[in-house]
Amino acid sequence: MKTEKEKRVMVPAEAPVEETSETPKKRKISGADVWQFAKSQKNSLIRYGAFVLVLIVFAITTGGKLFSTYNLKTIVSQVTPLLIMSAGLIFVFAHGGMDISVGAVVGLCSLLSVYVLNDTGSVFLVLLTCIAVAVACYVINGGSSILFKIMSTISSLAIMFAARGIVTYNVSRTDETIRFTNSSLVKMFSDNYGFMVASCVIIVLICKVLFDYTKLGKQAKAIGDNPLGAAQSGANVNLIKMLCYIVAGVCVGIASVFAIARVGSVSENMGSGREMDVLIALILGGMSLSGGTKSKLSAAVIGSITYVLLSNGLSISGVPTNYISLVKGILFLVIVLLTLRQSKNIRELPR
Amino acid sequence: MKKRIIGIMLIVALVVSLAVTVAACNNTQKTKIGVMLYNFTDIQGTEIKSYCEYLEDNFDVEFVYEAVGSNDEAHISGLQNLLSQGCNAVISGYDTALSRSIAMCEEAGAYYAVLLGEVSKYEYLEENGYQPTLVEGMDSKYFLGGVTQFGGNPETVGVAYAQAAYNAGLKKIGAISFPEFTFKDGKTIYDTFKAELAKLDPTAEVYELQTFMYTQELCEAEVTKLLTNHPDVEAVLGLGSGLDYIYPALQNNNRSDVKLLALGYNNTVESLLSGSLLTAGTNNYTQCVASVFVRIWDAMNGKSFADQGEDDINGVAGYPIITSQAELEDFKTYIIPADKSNGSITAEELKNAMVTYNENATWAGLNELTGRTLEEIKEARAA
Repeated sequence: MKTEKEKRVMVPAEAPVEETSETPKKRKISGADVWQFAKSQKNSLIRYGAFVLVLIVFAITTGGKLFSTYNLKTIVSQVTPLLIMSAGLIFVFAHGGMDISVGAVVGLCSLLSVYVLNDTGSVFLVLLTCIAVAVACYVINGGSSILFKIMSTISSLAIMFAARGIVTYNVSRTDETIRFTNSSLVKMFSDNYGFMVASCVIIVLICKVLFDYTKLGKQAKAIGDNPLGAAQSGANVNLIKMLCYIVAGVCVGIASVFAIARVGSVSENMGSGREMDVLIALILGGMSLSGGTKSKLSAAVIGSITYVLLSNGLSISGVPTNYISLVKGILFLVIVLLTLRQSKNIRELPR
Repeated sequence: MKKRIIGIMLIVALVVSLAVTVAACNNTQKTKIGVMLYNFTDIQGTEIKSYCEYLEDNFDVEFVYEAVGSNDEAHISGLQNLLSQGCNAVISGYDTALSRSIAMCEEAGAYYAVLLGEVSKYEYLEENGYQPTLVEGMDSKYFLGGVTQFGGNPETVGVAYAQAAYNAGLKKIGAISFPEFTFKDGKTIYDTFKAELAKLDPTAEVYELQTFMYTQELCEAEVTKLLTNHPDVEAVLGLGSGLDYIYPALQNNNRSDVKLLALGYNNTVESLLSGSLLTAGTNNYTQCVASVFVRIWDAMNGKSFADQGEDDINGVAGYPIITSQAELEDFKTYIIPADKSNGSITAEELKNAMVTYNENATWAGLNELTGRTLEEIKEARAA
């Protein structure tokens, strides 16, 4: 017997209108039906509409340069690390967690990538190192949050400072730039655009399966809605949370290889600002950062592409540099207001 | 239904975009040069932009600007955005992600140069027994080098600042800079300052160099540490942007009695020179831009200097120092004038330094032009 509270949680805010046995099979679609549909799919329409709008507006304002071969490659190389990170971190956000250490973790992974590649020349080892280090960071992050019951923001803040500190210390030890001595070894991650697209597709597909079709994803979303309810329904909350952090770690580790291959060297600021990029991308994609059943992996995909298109398009359009942040901010605010504003009749428990 | 609507929206987007792409095929072909800086709002950014606009009036060139964040990925994204706009050359303020930037420009067939700092062609790594090893990309024909600051001689700044401290009768001086790995010249200036002051006044004491990492909070912590350890300090040698960071930190510590010998320049210099500011100084922005622009223009016209050696990859830019109101007036008149034809380097002087317009132009001549002191510029304008 479900409690009233649980019942309320289980009601999707935008439940599609179910067809009943009385519904005629081939009924003519009226204007009211379209309006009803548009209302029920409002968030999706705004999310995809914003993406399409950005695409059209910048195609016009850039005089077509948006779709030049070079710029398409640019977009792919900018989207790849962001998309992979967002796809992984959506698991953390879906269960109600928060992570602001991703930039520093990318910095740390990048630093170690350079050392490992320069010492061994093995790209495989670089990949393994990045994944291992990122997973370790996220296990500590998630573990401390779960074991000591501290806010995930605080634990990730600690990881952020520690990782950034290690990077800064190592960079400051030498006058020489820490860079790949033979960057052609990682060319696959920086110049092979087919490989980048394929990697994104494979990782997104794997995440999609994990997120929508396995216990891990379903329970993570349930925890995001109501941890107590999820626990009472049989979910091992701590284990699920930890697994989410591990998935995020794997994705951030892989994304780090793309990030460092794209740059080729490490400075003390490597990766800084990535945490904001991921948050903005997910919000642009329509993700509620409080998590829950409304979390969709498509938010990572659409959000990452929209975010990169925004930055890239504004720059190529010739918007004065002094105004780019302002324009970005206004667009971001509009999209957020349209997609994340709570409807008056929302029936959701406060978290 | 939902998928169908999304599908229709995407198709519409694609059709409109393709139509625009086709329509946009007949663009005018002006040389396009991208400029990347952290910002274009401070005095450095606005002056660089202003000189670029002057160049636009005198050459068949268009400049586009990209403000980039301080991290490597933002730098690469900014560079990609500029190359996407069809830039024939890119001027970066900094040597961030240098090898990768050169490789990307090489791939796009665009030239690349560093505006606000010198670059090293070789590195000395432990694994190579500290033997000189060519840095990846440095031998690319698309890389046109950097610009050595402080007129190629940071020691002169140390000497000039020591003289100013001696003239003011200062005996106890602290020194704060950015970390050595980010600002090598800071340490050189400090060492020279200390040595020179010891010669001028053996009783003067210069405290050990403190460093901080680019934030106001960290600067304040260092200033507080200095004031706590040496409460009788009379002045600070502010190498880490004295005016932007150290002066506000001194004010926040209620120590307006402490004098400041600052590297850097901003709009407060005029009022502060009559108070606690003893010296200010900055790169000659015009000379920095001129040095790389000459190289880019010549390279695009297939010209090069006969006397430029393979290892001569850094041009020179001067560093005017301001110690009085009179010098400040000269600085405003000749270094940062609104009308750049009265400034450090005119378009005619620039053309005369280019092989494209003058077959006898030399690398040494270019460095002489871009390394002129404030006095020399004043004389040139008076002629």
